[in-house]
Formats: sequence, structure tokens, C-alpha cells
Amino acid sequence: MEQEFLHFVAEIMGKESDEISMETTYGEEPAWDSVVMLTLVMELEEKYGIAIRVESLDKIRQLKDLYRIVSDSMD
Amino acid sequence: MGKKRIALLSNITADYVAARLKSKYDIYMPAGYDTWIREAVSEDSIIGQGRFDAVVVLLDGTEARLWKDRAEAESHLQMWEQAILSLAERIRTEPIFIPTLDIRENRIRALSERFYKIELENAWYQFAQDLSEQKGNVYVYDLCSRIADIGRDRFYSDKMWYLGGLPYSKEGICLVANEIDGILRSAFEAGKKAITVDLDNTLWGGVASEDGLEGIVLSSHKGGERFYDFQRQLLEMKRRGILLTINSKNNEEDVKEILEKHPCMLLKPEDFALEKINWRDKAENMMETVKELNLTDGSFIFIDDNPLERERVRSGCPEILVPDFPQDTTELLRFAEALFFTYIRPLRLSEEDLHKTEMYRAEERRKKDYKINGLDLHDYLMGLEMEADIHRMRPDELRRVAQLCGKTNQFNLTTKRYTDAQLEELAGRDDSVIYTVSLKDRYGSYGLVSVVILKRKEKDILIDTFLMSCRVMGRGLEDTVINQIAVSNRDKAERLVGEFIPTAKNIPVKDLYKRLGFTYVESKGDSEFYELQLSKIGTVPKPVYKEIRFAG
Repeated sequence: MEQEFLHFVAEIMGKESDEISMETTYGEEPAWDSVVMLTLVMELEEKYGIAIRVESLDKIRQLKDLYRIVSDSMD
Repeated sequence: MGKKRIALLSNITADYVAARLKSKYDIYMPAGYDTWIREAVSEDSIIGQGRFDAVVVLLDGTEARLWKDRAEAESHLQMWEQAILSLAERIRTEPIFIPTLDIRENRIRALSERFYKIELENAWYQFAQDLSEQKGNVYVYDLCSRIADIGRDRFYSDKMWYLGGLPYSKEGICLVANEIDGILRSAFEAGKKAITVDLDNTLWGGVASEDGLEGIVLSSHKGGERFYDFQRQLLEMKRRGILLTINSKNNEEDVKEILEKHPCMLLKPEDFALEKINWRDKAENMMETVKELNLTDGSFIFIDDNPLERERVRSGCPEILVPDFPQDTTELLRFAEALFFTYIRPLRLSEEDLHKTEMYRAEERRKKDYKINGLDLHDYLMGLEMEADIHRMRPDELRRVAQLCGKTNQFNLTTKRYTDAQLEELAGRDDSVIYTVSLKDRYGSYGLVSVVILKRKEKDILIDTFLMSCRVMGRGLEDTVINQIAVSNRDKAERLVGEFIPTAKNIPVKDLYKRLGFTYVESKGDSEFYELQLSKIGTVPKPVYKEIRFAG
């Protein structure tokens, strides 16, 4: 699931899977800007059939935070 | 050819829409949120410098939630109208696309309270459509109806609005991108020109030879209405310049009875440019059809319910578009609509488009009579009783002239693609003149078939543009036109200079000027120049025309 998530996110960012990791940080990675953030939300909601709460987005610093939101929503 | 450069002006964050179009188009958007009005009105904006092939305006009505009353709503819309007027004032040639609006007025109202949504949307549509009718390059696209097609609940996403200033859901983004791609295809891609249809189980349900006139499924109500509606869609396309032809394995008598006598046959025999009703291979029939109508494989769509026949035509004529036929025939109406939107829809109709089928049918009769009578070419041409009318372009001919400039490839000496606005400019100048040539004969009118643009260069007159519709090639019209122009300018200039710019497609006219008595002078860049000394021009030789009217 983690690998699949990273692979999916990399594709949206226009990067190779091995160029990003769970430690990739919002604001530091140039491919991860606000437009990409919104695209990620849309695509992840559709892919995993979940609804991501707006409040939870403020807490995202790294990809692992986004991953946690996704996996928590699926439980 | 490089990607088309498109300016996208929007009151929302349209990056997501642009992202879906950028593989096909080079999209420019002014930086920053809601800068579109400044871009539209400002003299020194990038758009004003006119380096775009089209301008797409994408306006969203979500911000109407903030407008507190009708007065405020109207002032917003007025501002938008002003911006678009100013845009249309500066961009006179390249197409500008304006959307219809879906005004998302606040709905916290009592039933008795007045809603302004519909009134505002109507007023906006009238503004946009009026502008489109005044300006040759402004078009309205009906985004509002597309939104209604999938429904607001699916089209919009409040989450996206609050997070990113984008009111659309992912599905909404796709829909808007598709709609924009559709209008740009109308602008830049050559649409299909002809649709060839099978008959049994395609234009009606059942088989003519088995079920007969009484037995086939075709009616103006209930079950048979799906075929009736499909026919109406085809008829509407025919009225917009699409040629319809038949390619059917049948006995001609069985079919003719239905075509002529069935009360619910909307398509009449005269609606078809030609018919191939026989037992031959359908791919061969297609090749003949293409040839006889003087078109190319790539301009045809072939519709047949039988997968084997579709496969046969696909492999025999790979350039012909053969869409899958709907499994469920209640989808026929939408099937036709989708074909139209995807492959056919033109930006605008010309006078010629409205009579295209009649023109092609007249041509068939000409050919038939020619064969039957076994005349030689000269006698045949004489027998046509042709009348040519050569005159300065009238304002109502501008669109047709622009259309011919845009699409004529074979008989086109310089292939200069002048637009409406450029032609208007040329027609208004003292040192240039645009002639149009209309042709008719005893079988019918060809309409406006040739354009000549002359430019004065000191003591010479340069033939800047000379083009002719391929439908009238071989009638000596080019000789007649050039002769008339030469004679009428005998006292006004020393030389008539013909320019030829070779392309992959205009090989048929490579030696035209030599044939017309011009002498080769020189080549400059891609152009070859030929001259005709006007003092040496004699009287007009007796042409094969019954009448030639020339109004210089």
C-alpha cells in the first residue's frame, strides 16, 4: 500500500517513484505546490473512495502525514 | 505544425483545466488570481499584442453567491461585458470564445422571493450572441448546458472551491477541458464532410427485402421513433453542409419504395448526394463514392450496424472513420450528436453549406448527360450554358471568401490564408482589390467559386491570390477570369505579375501562368514570378461561356 501510494503521488507530481519518499516535505519539494496539493486531494479521494477533511490538510508537513490521513480514512 | 497558442482568460483558478489541455495546445494564462479583466482591457497586455491563435474566456458563476442584490450582480456582469467588448475590439481576426453562464445565486430565499439567476443568464446570452453576430470572430459556447447535462452536484465541488479557488470537481474539470478542446477542434481541425450510411437496421429497423414497406420499424412515435430521430439528426447535418450518401447491400427496387413512399422517411431521395445500392463489396463502393464526389477518404464517416461490413471498410479504406454502431439503438440520437460534436461541428455556416447537396446532385446530372451524349469537351462545355459573374467582393461575400482562403489547397497559387479581418482591410485599401467569381450553368448554381486578390506595385499589378474551388476545375474559368482582369487593366498598368508559391498540394496549378501566356521572370524565396505584358493583350477570345459579366 505504501509503495502504491508513493508511486501514485509521484505520477501526479511528475516525478519518478524513487525521487520522492515519505519524508518529502511540502514547501521544500518544488514539485509539491498548492496546485499539486489540491490535485492530490482530488485524485486520492477518487482512487481510494474516501473524503479528506479540510481541517486535516493543515497538518500535512510530509508525505507520510498525507499517507496517514488516507489510511485512517479507509478504516 | 506546432501547437496552437491559446490564451485562456478566467475568473477562477483555471490551472487545472489548462493542465489537461497542455499536451495538445500551448496555453497562456495571465499570472495571478482574477487578472483576466486587466488582461482583456489593457492596451499593453500580452493578449493585445495578438500572438495567439485563439482566446478562450472561461467564466464561472460561483462568485454570484457573494453578490448581495440584483444591482450588484448587474454591475459585475457589466464589467465582464466591458472586458469582452474591449477584447473583441482589439482582437479582430483570431477566434474569441465566450461561455454561457451558470449563475450560482444564493438560494436562501422564500418561494415568493424573486430569483435573478435566469434573467441574468439570459441577458448574458443575448449580449454574447449579439456580439457573435456582429463580429466575425466571436463565438458563444454553451458551457451552461454541458453543466446541466451532468448536473451541478457532480460538476461542482465546494471543497475544491474553498481549498483552491476552483469550483469544479475532478469530473467538472474534465468536462470543461473537453468542451474547450471541442471548440478549438471546431476552429482548427478540418471537419468531416460526408456521412455514408447503411440502410437496413441503420436508418430503419428490420430488412427491406424481408419486411417491406409495411414491416420495417420506423415511426414518428414510440419504438420506431429512435430511427426517425436518427434520420432527423442526419438531416440537420445535411442542412449544415454535410453530404449524405448510401452504401447498402439491397435490391434497388425494395429500397426505392421505402425511400420514396414510407410516410416516416424523413430523409428523401434528394437528400442524398449519391447512392450505392447493390451487392458489391462495401469497401469498393466507398472508394467509388469518394472518387465520384471528388473528396478524400479522410473526410468520410461510414455508419453501418453490421460489424463485418464495418471491419471490411476499415481494412479496405483505413482513412475513412468507421465508428462502432450503438448496441442499443435507443442511443442513436446521442450517437449522431456525439459524431457531430467530435468530428463535424464547424464554427460557422456559409451560404454554400446550405445548398451543398443540391450542388453535388447537379454535378452528378452533368456527368451523366456528358456520358450519355458522348460529346467532346468543347461541345459539352458549350452545352452547359455557363454564366460567369466577376465583380468586386461585396460585404456579404466576406465569409465565403475567408472560408475559401482558409480551405482551398489544390487550385491555390499562393495559399495565403487570409482571415475575415485581413480581407476586410485589403478590400478597404486603394492599392488592392478583391474580385469574386460566381458561376452557374443550366443545371444549377455553383455559387462563389473563385477569388482573385490584386495588389498594385508601382507600374505592375500583382496577383497576390488566385484560387478556385476544385469543383469547377476544367471549365476554362481560370482563362476567362485572368483574361477579363488583364483586359480591364490594359490602360492602368504595364504588367500583370503572377505569383506562385509551391506547396505539397497545389501541384495541379504549377504551370498555370505559363499556360495562360505568362513568362517566367524570377524566383524569390519560395515564390516564383511570371509576367504578362498588358500592352500585348488582344481581345477576349471566344470563350465557352454563354455570358460573362465583369464589373471592375
